[in-house]
Amino acid sequence: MARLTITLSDKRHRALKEAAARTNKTLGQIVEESLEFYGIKTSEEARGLVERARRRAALSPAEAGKLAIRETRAHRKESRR
Amino acid sequence: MVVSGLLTVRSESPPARIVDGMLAARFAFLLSLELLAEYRAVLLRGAIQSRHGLSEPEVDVILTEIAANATLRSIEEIEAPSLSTDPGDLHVVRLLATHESSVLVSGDRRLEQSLRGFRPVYKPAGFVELISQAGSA
Repeated sequence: MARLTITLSDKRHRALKEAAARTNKTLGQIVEESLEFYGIKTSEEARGLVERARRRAALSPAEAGKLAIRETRAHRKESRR
Repeated sequence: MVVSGLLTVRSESPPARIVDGMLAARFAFLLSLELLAEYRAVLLRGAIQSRHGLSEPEVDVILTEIAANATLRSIEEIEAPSLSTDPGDLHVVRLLATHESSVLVSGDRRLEQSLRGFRPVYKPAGFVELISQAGSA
């Protein structure tokens, strides 16, 4: 588990401690959940998803390029309507 | 480029290396909200989504990471130069017009032809070679 030192205003620090006491959670859990709620994901997660997408699609570069261009053109045509 | 780079199983192929470079911020690239929305819409089209199998939130995770590394440009007030481009390509032309040194990386021959004389267009392999020479890939 990584450690991070952050600087908060006294007011925010007090509010964080109060929220932790109220919900019976640690300060770290509250921060972790807040980041999750805010949509903060790791770049490893994005890279993992890309690898999964490539394995599943299993297209050659030529096939992928052809499909991408065809569908992009179709999208642009539909968007103009 | 983003779409094909997500669909090819060959991670050493130029489109895949370019997407990996975007995710790792290995080179500077331009993005507009219009282009980002288009990436999203195309990645969620039936014919594409059935290939990669990613859910909508998963596509958003990837695009958020790409957007975080991009130079975002507003194209609302950018006038497109008079080129014989397809009207659907205009947002790409306007994005390219926001930076005089911009280049387009695309395998779309039609777009390449319509941009002739306006901005250089690189095929994925050519762009990978260019950034490799610059030590970015």
